[in-house]
Amino acid sequence: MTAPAADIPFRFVAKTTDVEPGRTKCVPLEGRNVLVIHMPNGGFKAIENQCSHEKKSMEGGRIRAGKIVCPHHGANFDLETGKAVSAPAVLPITVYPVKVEGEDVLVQLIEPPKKPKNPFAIPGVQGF
Amino acid sequence: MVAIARIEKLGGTPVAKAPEPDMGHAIIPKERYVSPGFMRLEWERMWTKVWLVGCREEEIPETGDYITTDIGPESLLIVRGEDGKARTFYNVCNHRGNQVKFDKTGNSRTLQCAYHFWEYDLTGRLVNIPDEQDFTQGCPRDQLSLKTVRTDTWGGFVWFNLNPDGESLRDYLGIIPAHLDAYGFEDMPMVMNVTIEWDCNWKTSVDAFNEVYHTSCIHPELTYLHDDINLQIDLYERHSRYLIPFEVPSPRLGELTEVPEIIAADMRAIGMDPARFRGRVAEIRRAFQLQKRATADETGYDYGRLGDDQLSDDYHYFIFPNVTMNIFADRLLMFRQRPHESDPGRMYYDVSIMIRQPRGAARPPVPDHEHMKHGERSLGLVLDQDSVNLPHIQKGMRSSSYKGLWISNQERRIRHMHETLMNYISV
Repeated sequence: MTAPAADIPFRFVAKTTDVEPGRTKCVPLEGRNVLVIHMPNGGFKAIENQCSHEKKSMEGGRIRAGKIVCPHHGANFDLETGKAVSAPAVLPITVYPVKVEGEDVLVQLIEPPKKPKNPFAIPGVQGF
Repeated sequence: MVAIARIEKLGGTPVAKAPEPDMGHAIIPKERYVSPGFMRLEWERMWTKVWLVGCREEEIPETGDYITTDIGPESLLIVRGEDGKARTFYNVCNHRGNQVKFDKTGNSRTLQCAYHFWEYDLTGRLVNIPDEQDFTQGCPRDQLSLKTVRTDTWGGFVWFNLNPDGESLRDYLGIIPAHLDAYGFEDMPMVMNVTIEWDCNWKTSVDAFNEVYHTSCIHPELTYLHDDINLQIDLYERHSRYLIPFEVPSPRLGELTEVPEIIAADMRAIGMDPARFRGRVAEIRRAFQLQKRATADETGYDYGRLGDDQLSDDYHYFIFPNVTMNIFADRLLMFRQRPHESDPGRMYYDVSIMIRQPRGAARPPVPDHEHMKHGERSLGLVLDQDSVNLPHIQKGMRSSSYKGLWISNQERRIRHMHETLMNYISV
């Protein structure tokens, strides 16, 4: 996860009561699609609602052991780091820093991790 | 959709469709991937009978330059002689069995064993034995010189064949030189040379690159860049190819109305403005070819022997048993899949890249060879995606419930490779 940039404000995204524990809710916010995740054991996470594999929505994806499972092809992502931890995804997703103030869930809309422009390009090798 | 045109350059790479052999539909037994017994048969009857890539010629440019390379249980020493010829030897001193050279590359005036300093010249002849008079049985040179392996060159590669008899490299390669000489691989310097240890059988890797059935599943990005439906498969005596149209999205996506960014980036790279392109997305490929041809003089690249479709497409060749070539106008992305010395569940995956250079450009230095384990570093998105499943395929295949590969028509290059393999094994 990209370190929270101090100058990016936290924005209201949902009420804590809007999302049941173990459920997700997609909220469009400032040009992003934020998937608010109420963790089964409490607490909130937020990610950009786009699987890094086929760019599909992960709304309704199961939340298990700190990971979200993409409902389309089963890729798992770590909700702390955004890292893809199972096939078919390889690239990370965007995890937004979250804080809860009273009944408000707030997120910081940090920049997404960089994706390779050329999928064939091999780091450090010329010719692409 | 716009039909895929295949335009052949006179004297260049032929594009005619080869007749389709009838190969049936039988399951390919999984034992070929997991059985140590089958692995031994492969070694005795196939690996020791075929021509194999040893190295690039540019890795040993000067007299005395050498590289060592392994194939299965054998280590080989490839050396540039005083006559300019590359020679291959079994990398073993005939005194006490030490390897003559341990390092990957080097330069030597003679080939001296590091143990008792037996010394061989660059043709492999034993020329000096310290205290030779102490060998009262004598030291016959014909018996004790380095054992030579048949060696030849094509395409800027040094090839060797552990079989002392049999067909020439040219005969073995068959259609390959006539198809690929147009690219001039010998003039394309290598810019990457990496070996990765993979926990799968060598054929699992060969298979992974002999079909595009998986493309829309594990490389969804690439469906915006190439047509995985209208590709041509040609199965030859041993080798095979597919011609994959690039700079055109997959028909799986339907007709797109916007230029995908991945194609737009390629267009910009050759001076086209995607925003000003007037035509259907499916017509970009042809415009891309014409632009590349029209600007070749200006950019200094010589595409004189390549057909127009070779300016956009991947001419993907498989040279039996273990060379995979993704061939683009400006780049050869090559994989060599080598068997492990003893374990059918492990292999060595060699990735090298050769690039076309504009006229007058200085040749870049030969890259150092890197060796790593799977996952130690990224090989770029596409190869990272390809490698994810491989160890799991090997584990899955060991299951007593799994019988073998159930192959579709679009995967028939895999079946063809197995037919060729079994022609060797069944002898």
